[in-house]
Parts: sequence; C-alpha cells; structure tokens
Amino acid sequence: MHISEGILSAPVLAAGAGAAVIGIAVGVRKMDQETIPRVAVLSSAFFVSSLIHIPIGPSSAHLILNGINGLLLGWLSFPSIFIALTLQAILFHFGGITTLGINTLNMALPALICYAIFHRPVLSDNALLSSCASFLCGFLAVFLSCLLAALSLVSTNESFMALAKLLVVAHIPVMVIEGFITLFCVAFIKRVKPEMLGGLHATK
Amino acid sequence: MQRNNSLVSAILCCAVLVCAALLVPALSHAHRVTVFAWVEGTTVFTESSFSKGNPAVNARIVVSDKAGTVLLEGTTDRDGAFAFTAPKLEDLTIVIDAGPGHRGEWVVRESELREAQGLATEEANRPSPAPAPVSPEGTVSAVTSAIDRDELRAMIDDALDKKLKPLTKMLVEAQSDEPSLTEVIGGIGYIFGIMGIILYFKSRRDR
Repeated sequence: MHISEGILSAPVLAAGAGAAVIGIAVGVRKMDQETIPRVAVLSSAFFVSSLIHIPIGPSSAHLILNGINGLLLGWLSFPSIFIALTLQAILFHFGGITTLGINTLNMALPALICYAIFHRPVLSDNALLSSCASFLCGFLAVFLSCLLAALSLVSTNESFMALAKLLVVAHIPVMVIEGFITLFCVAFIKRVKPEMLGGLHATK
Repeated sequence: MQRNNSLVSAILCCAVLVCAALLVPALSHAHRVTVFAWVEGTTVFTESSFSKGNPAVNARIVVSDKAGTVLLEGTTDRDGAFAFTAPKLEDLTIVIDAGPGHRGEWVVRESELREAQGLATEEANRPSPAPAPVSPEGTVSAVTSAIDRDELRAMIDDALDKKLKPLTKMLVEAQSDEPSLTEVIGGIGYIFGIMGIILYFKSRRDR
C-alpha cells in the first residue's frame, strides 16, 4: 500500500524518513559480499510485485512480498525495499518521493519483525511447523504493513480503526496469497539451499 | 557452487514473477487513481479511474480554488464520473480521494472555464440587432448575416467541443504512465547496478 504524495503531513513524513534512514543504515552496514546478490534479487522481486494486481471488488490491491524479503534478508530488507520503492517512484511514478521514508518503514519494519519471529521456526524439521511458520510470515508481514499504513494515515483526520479495517479487509486476499508464496518459496529454498534461511550473519 | 545454484533459482523465481506480471495484461498495472476533467458551458465534468478503464466508484471529489479554500465536494458515481457547475472563474483544483493513500489531482485552468462560458457571455453582451435601420435593404441584410455568423460560430464551437472531448480523454489516458516492459527491465537493471556498486565498495574496504 504505497502512500502517494500530498496526503501526509510534514512531521509524519519526517519521522518516517528518520526511522527509515536508521533502518537502512543498519541494513547497509550488515551487507557483505555473500548477501548482496540476494538483496538484489529480492529487491527486484519487490519492485516487480506492484505490477501483480489482485482485483478485490471495485478496487484492487497489489502484492507486496515483504514477508519473503524479511525472512531471507532480516535487517537487509530495509535497503532492499528502499531501493525498490525509489525506483518504483521514479520509473512508475508509483508512491511518492517525499513518502519514500514512511513507505519504506511501513513495509520493511513488518519484514524485520516477521524475520525475528519466524526465521527459527521456519528451519524446523517438522514440516507442519515450518509450513505454518512460512505462511504466517507472509500473512503477518502484509497485515502489519496495513496497520502501519493506517497509523501513518491517522494524521489525515480519519479514525485509525476505520482506516485499519478498510486496509486490512482490502488486503486479505493479498495476505493469503503472500502466505502461500512464502510457503512455496521456503519449501523450495529448503531443498536447494537451506543455509539461506539460517538467518543472516548473527543478526538476532 | 551451491551458492550459484540458489542465486540462479532465485533469479528464475524473479523472472517468473516478471513474466506473470507482463503476460497477464489484465493484472499488470500499477495502482494509481487519476482524475480527468473538461468543461462544457458552465459545467465541469470529471471522470476518475484506476489505471486504464477501472472507474473509481464512490470516491470523494474535492474542488478548491487557487487559495486552497474548498469550494465544493462530491462523490463519483458508478462510472467514476462527477459533474458540477463551475463555482468560480479561476484555476480550480480537483482532488480525488479514492481510499487510504490513493489521491489524484487535476487543475481546470481559468482560461478553459472562460472559454467554455465566454461564448455564452459574449452572446449575451452582443447588442441586440433590433434597432430599426430605416435605411435600404442592404443594411438590414448586413445585420442579419452578422447575426447568422455569430450563431454559426457558436454552433461550430459546440460541435468542436463534443468532438474534441473524447480525443482529449484519449490523450490523457495515453499519457497515463503504465509501467512498460522497458521500465521494468530498466528498474531491475538499476537494482543490480546499485548492488554492484555497493559490492565494489564493500570489497575495497575488506581488502
């Protein structure tokens, strides 16, 4: 849910930008030669995800893919998502330039949180636990993004509960689909290269 | 070697996503709301949609003047349309609010408003042709043909307005930026390029 220009007030934008900068700085410092290609690929996936539309009633929502971003990148999802958002704003005029900070925060913070919660259960040998954890990771990441976006929009004279309900309901199909996407990605990666899921270079 | 395998497979996943996005045109458009407006007479017509075609239904329209004062508000109908009488003869900013985080804007220029109404006011101001020219037929017919010419001009302008409206609409739609394949590939290229630069600097520091 990219927030466009001209909706949020300056203090909200500044706060979002500040927090995003901190996240990005931490992420960039943690980058090393092995993880950078991974960041590039996931950033590209996130970049393209906005093109994949899911029609819901009169309007529609797009995929976000911050669940899988978080799971595979942890703190690195901040720079990954930030770069993808910047390019989306510049090339597609999608989202805004002033809202880059707050949008990055809204999408990368849930990614980080889901990484923290799920990256260990996902590695478990119990197939059921691992599947549930991956599904929930994708699901929860989008859900938290909706909540954060609603929180950011609270400054625009609308009640948080109304906004949150609206956003969450609009994104339920996205949550479910992303849960499955994360599930399949994790299953695939576990077979090919399980180390990729092992959490990055001692982040948490 | 194993690392290369997973990188390749990850790239494959990404490629699949890109193909999915582009081979399914119905699904592949970025999610913006745009509002477009044109003037006919004293009425301003607006139409709002998400990307190409999908109308923005029940969205809030707010019309404000140059100073930012809200002049009027309304809601779009099932076709995403909303019409109103121009409240003022100056630059009108039309903003559409189609849900959280979705906002589009269009400015109706004062010149456009004046032009659409200008004919009406010009005609009203035109001195009535009544005064009796007590002179020969020649003068009377001169006055009559002047009236006809004005009416003709008004009719032509009307017809042109109607014909040009769909054209202007097409122009606006054509300008609406749908991410093209070039842009998507370009964006992905930029991402890998930026990562390459970061990689370079990181490796220099490690050395």
